Amino acid sequence: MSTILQVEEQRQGNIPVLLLRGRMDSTTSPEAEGQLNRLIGEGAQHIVIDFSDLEYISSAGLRVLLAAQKRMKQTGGTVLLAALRPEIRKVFDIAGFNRLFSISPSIEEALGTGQGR
Amino acid sequence: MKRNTRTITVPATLDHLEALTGMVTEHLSAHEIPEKVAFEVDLAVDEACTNVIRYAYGPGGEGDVTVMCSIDPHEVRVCIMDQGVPFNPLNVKPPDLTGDVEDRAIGGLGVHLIRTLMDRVSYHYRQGKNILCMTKGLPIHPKDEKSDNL
Repeated sequence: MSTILQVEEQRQGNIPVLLLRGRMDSTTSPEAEGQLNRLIGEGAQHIVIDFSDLEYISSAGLRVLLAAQKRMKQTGGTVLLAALRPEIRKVFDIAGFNRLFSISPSIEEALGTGQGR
Repeated sequence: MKRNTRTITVPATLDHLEALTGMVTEHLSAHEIPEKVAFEVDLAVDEACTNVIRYAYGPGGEGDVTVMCSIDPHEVRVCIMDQGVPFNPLNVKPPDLTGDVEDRAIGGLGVHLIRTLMDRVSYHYRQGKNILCMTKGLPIHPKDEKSDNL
């Protein structure tokens, strides 16, 4: 089991894609928070987060995502989520985050959502 | 049947969170507890311990947190104990999940996750200790259930 979080940034055209790998808890979430805040500060209209390698998320991770979505909404942008594992999707559903985020099965579909807006 | 129990006590600081959740996940793995159950117990323990670490001893306060994990053929039971300020997480009001992004409060989800994912949660304050116990039932044939998809 991984006990760290790796955050890797890629670009698909103009859209930044953050790849999260490992475990997003109260110890590791600040790393993702820093990256998201930087991208929002740089004026990103859409940010896609690739969850395919994320093994775990706690409410500390959910808090970081919600804070980012709140900031993006203020500028008319949005955070798009993709490729959640079933156990992580369940956490999102329990938290009611399926109402707050566009959640796509794949990165390609999330990018389609971002570019279509 | 005798329960198979492991216990850990560490200072209630964020840099010990990994040791607390790690003890539980190792214990569950050693007993071949299904991954889905292990994920949910891991999350509930993380949320409960994070609350103790953040709030039990107040700003600048110091103290310990103890996690005790018991496994029997029917269930996993984890108790989290601290000697901090008396606090019953079961009195926390459920979060309002209906609002839009602008309306949603940041925080308050940890206790909601614990209550939803665990089958039973109890709280007692005894002899100066907060004692939160969480129980998750095991499937009848644990080795056969690997994921939600089955």
